[in-house]
Amino acid sequence: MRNNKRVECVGGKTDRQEEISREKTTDGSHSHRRKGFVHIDYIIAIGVIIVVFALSVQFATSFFTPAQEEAQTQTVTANAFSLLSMADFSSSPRVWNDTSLPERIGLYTKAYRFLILVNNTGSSYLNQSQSVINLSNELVNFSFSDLGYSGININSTVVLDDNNRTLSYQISGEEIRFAAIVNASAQRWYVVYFDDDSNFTSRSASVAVTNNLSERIYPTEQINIVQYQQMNELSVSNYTLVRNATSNRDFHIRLRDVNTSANQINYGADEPRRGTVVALQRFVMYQNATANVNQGRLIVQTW
Amino acid sequence: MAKRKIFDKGKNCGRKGFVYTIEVLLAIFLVAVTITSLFLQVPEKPQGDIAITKRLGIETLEYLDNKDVLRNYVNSNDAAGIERELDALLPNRLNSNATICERSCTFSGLPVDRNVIVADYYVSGYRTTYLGKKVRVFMWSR
Repeated sequence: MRNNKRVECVGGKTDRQEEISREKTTDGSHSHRRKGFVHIDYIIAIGVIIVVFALSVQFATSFFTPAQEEAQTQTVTANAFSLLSMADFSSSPRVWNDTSLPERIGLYTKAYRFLILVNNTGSSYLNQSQSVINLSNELVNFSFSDLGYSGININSTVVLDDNNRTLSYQISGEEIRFAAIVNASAQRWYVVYFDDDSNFTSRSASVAVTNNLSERIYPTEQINIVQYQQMNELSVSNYTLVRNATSNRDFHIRLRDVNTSANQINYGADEPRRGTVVALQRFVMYQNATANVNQGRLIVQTW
Repeated sequence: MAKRKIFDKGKNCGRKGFVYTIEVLLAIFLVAVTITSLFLQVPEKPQGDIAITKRLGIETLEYLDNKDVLRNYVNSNDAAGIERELDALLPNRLNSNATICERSCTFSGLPVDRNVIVADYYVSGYRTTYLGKKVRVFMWSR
């Protein structure tokens, strides 16, 4: 007889559900138990959406947070590299002060160096009949104009022996003369440094010498150094003004002597206790207050 | 009496919510898979340390030249001397080796499981002697 039953779509229910709900009219407990059943699918869907949303936020956060930190570190590192290049360029403009600030901090200049060989053997004697003896004040002299240089800052001349000791010398016009100490049948090397863009005071001192030998002067070579004059200009300037004119990021610059660890430059703000601080260093040759060329360690920190 | 089926869909009327739920779950699954595949891999950190190390090597060789020791080593073909100088100047995080060559530089003993950064420095002469050589420095992280 079921086949003759009329089937109607009542609220989308099946035949069985219709029978059950008809039963409900006689037995109310069934209808109360089944009411929430039709909404369970939506609850499940909402729950899944919430879970997926939470996972999406977590993934997005883990994606963007290190990228942001890395970008900041790279920016600070680029700024530190730019500062470290101060040993490769002069400041721009070259002459500046607190009223005419630099666009770029620079300390670089060229200096020149050549070697002199003093050979106390018979073939070097001016008087070939003279016997080879120990010489304690052998004249060594040279002229910058004879070497082909003009516009030299002659006061920047530094003479070193092969033990790296600074020797006193006498200036006479464009000529430099100093005393060499060479034992018989020995040879000694002397190094002369000079530049053409500094402003040192004269350190000329008279020397008592005798001229017995001819010396050999080797070709001049150019070296890159950190210039004393530019170091001075930086050290006496106003840090806040320089920072705002150049990078607008805080920094600290130190130039430390390799042998004595004395700070030749100590300029800038104090490093923060927290945050991203990038420190870079390089070794350079620098010029001190008496024009001596020494070994230094240039350290820059920026944040 | 003929069957009177008001529907076909009469039998499926009660399944509407089920289909909708399946559709929603499928859509959520597709979105979740897409977002996961997009954001699962954190962006690769740029290898800035390679450029830093290369620059460090070149600046160190330039410093040795300005210090007037490099050309003497090259003239004497003393690569070990250059390596000693580099050990004192380069950071502790780096290992280094040096070779002196004219045109083609060969060097064995380099690590095969990490990046090796190379820096070349050309030396034309020493005092009155023409050299025409280059110093090649190899650097890698410890």
